[in-house]
Amino acid sequence: MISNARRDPAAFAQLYRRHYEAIFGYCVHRLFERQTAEDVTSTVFLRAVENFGRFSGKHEKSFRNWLYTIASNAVNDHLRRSARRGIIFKTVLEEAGKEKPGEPPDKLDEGPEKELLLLKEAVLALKLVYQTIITLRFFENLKLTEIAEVLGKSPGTVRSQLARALAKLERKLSFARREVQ
Amino acid sequence: MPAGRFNKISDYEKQFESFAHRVKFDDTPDIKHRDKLEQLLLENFANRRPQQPNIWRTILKTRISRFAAAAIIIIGILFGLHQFGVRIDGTAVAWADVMEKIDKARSVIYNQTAEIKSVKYTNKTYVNEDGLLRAEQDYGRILILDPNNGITFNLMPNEKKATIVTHRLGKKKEKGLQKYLEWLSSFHEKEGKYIGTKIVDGKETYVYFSEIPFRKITVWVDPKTSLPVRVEQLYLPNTNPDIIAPQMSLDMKEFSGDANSGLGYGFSISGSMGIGDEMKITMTNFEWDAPMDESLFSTIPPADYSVEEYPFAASDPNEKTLIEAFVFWTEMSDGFFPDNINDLGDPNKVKPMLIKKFRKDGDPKAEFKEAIAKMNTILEALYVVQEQKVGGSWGYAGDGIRLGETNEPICWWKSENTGAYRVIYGDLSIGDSSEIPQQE
Repeated sequence: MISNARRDPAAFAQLYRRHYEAIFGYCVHRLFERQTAEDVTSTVFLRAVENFGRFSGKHEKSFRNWLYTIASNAVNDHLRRSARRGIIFKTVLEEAGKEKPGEPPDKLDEGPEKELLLLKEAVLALKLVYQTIITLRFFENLKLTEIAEVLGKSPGTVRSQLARALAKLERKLSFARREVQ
Repeated sequence: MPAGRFNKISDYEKQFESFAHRVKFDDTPDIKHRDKLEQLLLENFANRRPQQPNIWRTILKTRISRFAAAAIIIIGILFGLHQFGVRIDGTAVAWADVMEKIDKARSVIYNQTAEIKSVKYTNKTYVNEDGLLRAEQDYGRILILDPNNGITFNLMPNEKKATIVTHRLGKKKEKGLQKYLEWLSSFHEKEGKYIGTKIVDGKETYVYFSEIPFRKITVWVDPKTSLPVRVEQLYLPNTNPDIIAPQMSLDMKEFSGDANSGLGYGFSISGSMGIGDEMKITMTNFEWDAPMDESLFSTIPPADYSVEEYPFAASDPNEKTLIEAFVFWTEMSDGFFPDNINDLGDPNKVKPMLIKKFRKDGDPKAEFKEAIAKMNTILEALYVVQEQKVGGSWGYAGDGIRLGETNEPICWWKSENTGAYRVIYGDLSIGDSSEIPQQE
């Protein structure tokens, strides 16, 4: 499939269709906004076309991980370039009813929208690398070894960073306070 | 880490996983967007630039040219080689004879073919007893290396242009042709193996094989002369996707806006860790001790040629090089360190920075020079990093960190001299730590 896709546009299109949903999903889960996620998804696949010649993998799993690498960079570029983290925080506060950052709402069981807002505020406050690891691990269900390949880090480093990211989330999410303390 | 703390994290991981599964995203793909993007991709796919080799990049991909462009590294490797003195089982004497004959030879000429991703590049190479090398590329350009003076000299007859790149010098060279032939390095580093005889061009040859990490070399020797008649080298890429080849090219047109300026510069650093693509080098038509005119190795450009000169720093790449690269990167990215240290080798990220920094609508040649000097610094820094990765002690945590965050470790590696970890912090200070630094 990969070798055919290098020269055959139809094969490339097929490959694209097989991975579109995963990459779009990842972008939504990172950015919490589907319009922006669609834009970034477009960027990801355009970069993939442009750089396909540099991709040396032979298997589709490597291709998927390569796409996740491009997507992670594109999302991080987007967040950093547009200072979107700050903008998103403001949006979160407005949506959540003017709560202060770091002080999430007390009640978790007010429905899925509230949970999404909680998650958004907590995750977007993390360092970008932690955001990436959390999303890949819990929302894209990648194994640590796969995340390591995406990020170009060792699995041990990813494990360590995941632990740190979770520790930070634990402090930020109210349900964590209730359940762990 | 105490067991209780570890369990707590594990427990929390489960809790968070459960929480994550409950969260509902609006993540159902819009088929219209998918199909529209597909059309756009197919248009881009059709309009992709054909994968014709960027000439300068291609130069750097060939072994001989790697030697040229990466002289700062290769020279050091070449002259740091151990003397060959190992007896190799029953054929030791025969191979020792080969090395001795090579060492006594005053010159050699051979044809070389490099195959990279099914694309072939050929040249005719001349090496004299002083280690001067001339490679006549199949597309008309001529490359001359003078390792004694740290000069890489390129002649472009069609454009009537010459470029002179001066590099730092390696350790003092030893005499003897075999010291200059980079492809013999594996036979210096590790015992070779006699694997039998084979008929080449109707003549029986002795075949020797040597393998070092990421490289396999086979040499066919004429038993009558004890000299090689054919050499094949297979360069294997490192399978660790995190270890990348520091290489990049920059075109003058990106500064002058003149698509026909014809000047480009590429830089690649080769090491022992299998960086780069798989590549097969075949050398044939050897002529040992062939007479050579000194003028073949002249690094004086013809009078009617335009000349570009590119001098480089005079010290080996080290942690200061890395800091210099970080200074540039953070200056060009609102103070942020790279997300991934390999971003230093990503042309899609580095080249726009170089253009933004150095293109000032002044003298494009001067701007171009400044840009490639900085590009080289960045790639040298990346080389330092890849070396540490191969050593297994490299760590990076710069993602999301801004310049000036004093207590944030950006990267670290284990010093071979002290056994302690060298750590670069967010304010670009350097310190030692007995343990892997902890991030805040």
